[in-house]
Amino acid sequence: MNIVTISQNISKIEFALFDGSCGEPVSKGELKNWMNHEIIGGIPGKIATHFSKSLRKQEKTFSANLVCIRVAYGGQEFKSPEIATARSLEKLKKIENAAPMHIPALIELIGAFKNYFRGTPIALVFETSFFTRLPERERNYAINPGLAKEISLQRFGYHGIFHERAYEYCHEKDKRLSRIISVCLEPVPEICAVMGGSPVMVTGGATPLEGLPGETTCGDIDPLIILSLSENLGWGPEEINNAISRKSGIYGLTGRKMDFTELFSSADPDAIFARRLILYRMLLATGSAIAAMGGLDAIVFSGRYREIGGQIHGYLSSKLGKFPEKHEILPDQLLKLTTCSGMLAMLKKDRTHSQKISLDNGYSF
Amino acid sequence: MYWIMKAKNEAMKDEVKDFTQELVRITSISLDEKKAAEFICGKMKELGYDDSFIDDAGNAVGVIRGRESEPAVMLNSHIDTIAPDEEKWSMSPFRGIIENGKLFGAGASDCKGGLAAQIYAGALLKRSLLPMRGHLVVAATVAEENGCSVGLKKLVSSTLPSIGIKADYAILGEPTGNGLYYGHDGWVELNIHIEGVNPFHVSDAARNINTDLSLVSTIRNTMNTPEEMNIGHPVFNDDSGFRSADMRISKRLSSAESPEGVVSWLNHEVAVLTQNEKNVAVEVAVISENQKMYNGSRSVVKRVANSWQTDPYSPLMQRARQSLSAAECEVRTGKWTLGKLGMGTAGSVLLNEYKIPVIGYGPGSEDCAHCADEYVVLDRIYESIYGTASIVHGLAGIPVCGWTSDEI
Amino acid sequence: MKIIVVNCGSSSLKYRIISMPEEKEIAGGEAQRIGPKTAEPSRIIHRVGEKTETHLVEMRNHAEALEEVRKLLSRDSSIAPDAFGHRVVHGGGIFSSAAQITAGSARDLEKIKHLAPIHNPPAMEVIYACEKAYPGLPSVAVFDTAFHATIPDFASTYCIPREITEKLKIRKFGFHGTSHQFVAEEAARIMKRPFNEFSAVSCHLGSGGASICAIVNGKSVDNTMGYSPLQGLVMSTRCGDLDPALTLNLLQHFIGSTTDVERLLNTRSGVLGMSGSSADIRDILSMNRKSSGNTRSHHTAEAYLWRIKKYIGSYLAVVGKPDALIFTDTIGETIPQVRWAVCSDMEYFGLKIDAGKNDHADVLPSDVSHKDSSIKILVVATNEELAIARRTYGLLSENHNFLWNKKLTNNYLK
Repeated sequence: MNIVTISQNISKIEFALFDGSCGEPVSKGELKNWMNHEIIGGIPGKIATHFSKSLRKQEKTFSANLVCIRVAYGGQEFKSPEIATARSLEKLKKIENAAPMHIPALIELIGAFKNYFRGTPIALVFETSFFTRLPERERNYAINPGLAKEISLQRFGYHGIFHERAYEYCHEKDKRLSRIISVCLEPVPEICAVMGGSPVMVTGGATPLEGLPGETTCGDIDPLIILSLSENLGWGPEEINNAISRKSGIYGLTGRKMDFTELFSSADPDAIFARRLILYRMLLATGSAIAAMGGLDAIVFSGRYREIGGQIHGYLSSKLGKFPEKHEILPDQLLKLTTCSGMLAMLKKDRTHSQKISLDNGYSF
Repeated sequence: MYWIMKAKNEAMKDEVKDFTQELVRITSISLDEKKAAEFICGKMKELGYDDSFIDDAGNAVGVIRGRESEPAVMLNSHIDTIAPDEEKWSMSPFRGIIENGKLFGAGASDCKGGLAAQIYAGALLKRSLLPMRGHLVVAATVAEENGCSVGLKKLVSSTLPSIGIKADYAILGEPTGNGLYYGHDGWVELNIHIEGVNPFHVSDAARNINTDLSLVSTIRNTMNTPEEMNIGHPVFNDDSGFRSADMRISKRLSSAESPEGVVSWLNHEVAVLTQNEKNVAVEVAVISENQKMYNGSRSVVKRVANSWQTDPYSPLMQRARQSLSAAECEVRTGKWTLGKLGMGTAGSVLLNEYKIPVIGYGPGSEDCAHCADEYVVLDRIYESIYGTASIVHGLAGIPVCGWTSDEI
Repeated sequence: MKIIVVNCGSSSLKYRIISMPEEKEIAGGEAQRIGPKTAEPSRIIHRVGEKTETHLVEMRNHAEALEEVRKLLSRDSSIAPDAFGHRVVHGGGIFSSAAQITAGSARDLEKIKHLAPIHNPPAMEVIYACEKAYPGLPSVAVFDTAFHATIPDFASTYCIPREITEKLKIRKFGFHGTSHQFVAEEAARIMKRPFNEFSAVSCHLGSGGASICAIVNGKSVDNTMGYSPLQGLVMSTRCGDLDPALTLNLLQHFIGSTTDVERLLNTRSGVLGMSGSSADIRDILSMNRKSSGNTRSHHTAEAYLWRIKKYIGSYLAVVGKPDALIFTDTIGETIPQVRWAVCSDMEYFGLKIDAGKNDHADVLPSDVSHKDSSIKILVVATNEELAIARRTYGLLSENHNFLWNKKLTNNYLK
């Protein structure tokens, strides 16, 4: 059982090959700037070549039984992972306006994989599926719901795969842990309150721009600031978007590109200030999360910068009296989680295949 | 979004160069645009336009459908060129010679370069996988240079309605050197018709009108820039008896002038000048022509190009400026100077007759238009593709705001 | 000392004459429908003691309104004012406390007028008119933003490029400061704590605007409103927090018209926009009691309460060890259902509301906390006019010699 896992971002595609045990990947790599230059149709071939080469060194040959693609946005249409069919593509087309940089490219990508790996099922795993269960009170904005058809007016979170797994991880450790704060530390970090397995509060918004500041994203700002930029600088929405999604956050405060690991170890005064600010925003979100759940049993850190979770936990517990003494760190990587969710999707849909698969991964499917 | 468009545009360069060169090689003098129209239509099909066809007027039309019908943006350039005066050219105007990054040929600047840029702007949006909210129409129209834009009129009054599109904004690919132009003065061609029983009276009247001492000087006295009017020599009709004469006049129209106003003013002037000539009737009128399009349809056209001006602070101009700025393109606004009498754009037709806000944005240079050795700089075309696509996306694209950070 | 407190709206002018330091209101009123003629005539409702009278009089601007008020006041020498206290909404980055109007401070006020284009200009007009009508009488400007000047930079900074925030002076200002400070001082007094050792979370829930403030040792450390009053809670017609991309998308939708987007977010969103039926949360709550389930009014009420609750959680976390949670202004003072909803299930923070006390908090101030609650939950009536009078009186008596020097206060018009 070989599973190819794809994580699609604007700047790059990350891919990995798992042997079905959900352990570490057998091979992995990334394609940068794929949306700029690549003809998308050629991408599966490149990935397959990469895998073949690295497997040849291990004296194995490459074949794929399942392709799992992580998708940033699936709206209310995709409440769980699913095997890509013509119907899924239709549904994706329907919601492309809500994530216009991601979905059209994804549709092309799915087509390319279908072409290349003929007959191999493709599982789509959505970051937003987890958040389709977000309560209305958390999901809605205080604006006219029928305002503009082409604009999505609902809050989602964008690290649902991590948050869902973070909850399971704690809950498996101790069944009594049912109110979890999940802090996903990725370039756009996100805090989510998960209660009984469902999200009840999240910092993400209608797009990943709202919430906590990220490496280049602004996070929460007063809506009037945007109008003020437009009036005072003569900027249109596109130019403001460039500024607040690509030149803000840590980059905007410190004036240089810096990831969270560096931010949390830097002695640069601007970085110290940015760290202070982001910790403060995390404290605000934590307070909201506790209020949303009426309490707190555990806090889990996940994502590529999860190791700074210790520092964040230290800060939060210094501010909050009754804070959990220990924090958890989710060991799993994103691609691995995608594989598992993808496999789950396939098992649900495709009983004939599921007979042949033995899973040795510790996940409760 | 912009970095993706930039990269995709970079990758299209050779394709664009070949297409524009081929387009220049296909002769398309006004009213003989058939071959070029078919070539364009085929290219749009190949580039993945949702729809591409040749309409009843012979225009080549390409459509990229949006998720909603509004707002619809129309990119418009004319296919036709004026007939080049080949003797003045240092090379063949139809070979599409490329030298030092310049493509030479009849209509290279006016406005085949602009047409190519607009066709590929649609392709660039498609290849960048940017979904559209409203529709994009790319219309390569016929009979602009000689025909007073009948092609465009047919397009707006019948072709677009027949496919369920109403253009909310229009961008002309006429030469602006990639500046954002919002209008120009106009011109009108008039005929002074003199008729009388006595041939001598007719020729006297004509002489009275057409001497330095008469109409021209009258006009010189009333106009600041007398060179903005041409008065042709009288042409006498009816060899047997000198019974009538015609004189052609072309005149620039400032934004304050209308053709009707000029007609009534000139009627008054010629009446004064010929008041001593008994038994002659003199009438000034805008010239109309009965024209046969390449596809056989016929139209009566008036030889008028009205002046037009879109408000430089209108939403269209503002959004165009903002989009170019966000795309890190040069933002330069202005108006065409129309250095040569007889030039003009279809802007007045769109803005004044159909009330469609219109601006110009094209790679050609106005100085090159209607000249020998006309050329367009290829780099300007590539820039124009990217700039046009950015403006179109600003006006009618699905906004990508919030989704453009490298990683989430 | 009789202080006349002046509070200008875009088309109204409210005034109270308060005798200080005994804090006794001796007269007051409101000039309504100032400006170009409307369907109803402009008028002044004037009140001295128990007696109320209505004068119909044309007032084309706030200066004329002030002149008409002066005429009414001049009929009774016992209510002749000694000083003015002006409510000024926005103090920008310049004013971190109440300020006496001098030539210099008037110049500074002019510089920040654009920050609150609806409120600050009429206030300035009235300040000038006061100097004309009562030459030499001291005037003090009391700012809604001043109390929030102590918000630390890591809480007031927006994460957008520094060049922009510095160039356009963009930061969190916070609003309703006068009210938050007033009710917090009242609460400290009730709890017999010195204000500079008093920490609280204060909820100013008005029928129009609303904000929550985190107070540590008598100082504001955060406010839900931000650069403008648009940010934060769901308000009657303001959207509160919104994904920045949504504002951008709306801007694109409205072909770049900031006016359209501003009007939409400021006057047609919030409770009104969400419910589609009323801008008053009280209507929505009572509609909800009659029907239940998946209706727009149901979603509106839920979102309104949920946002308050989340922010209370945030600010309780920020304050750390608050003495009190305070509710004030129309909704905060009169709607027990709101207080109940946002305080329930908050035991983690040591917060527990008493159902019985909460339902019968008719006489203010009132303590509605459960006996087990480690944080007092207080309902306190706000009185911004009295707060302004206190600030004015405080400032004037503090700097008595300086401020009563007419040479300094005169002629700031020039």
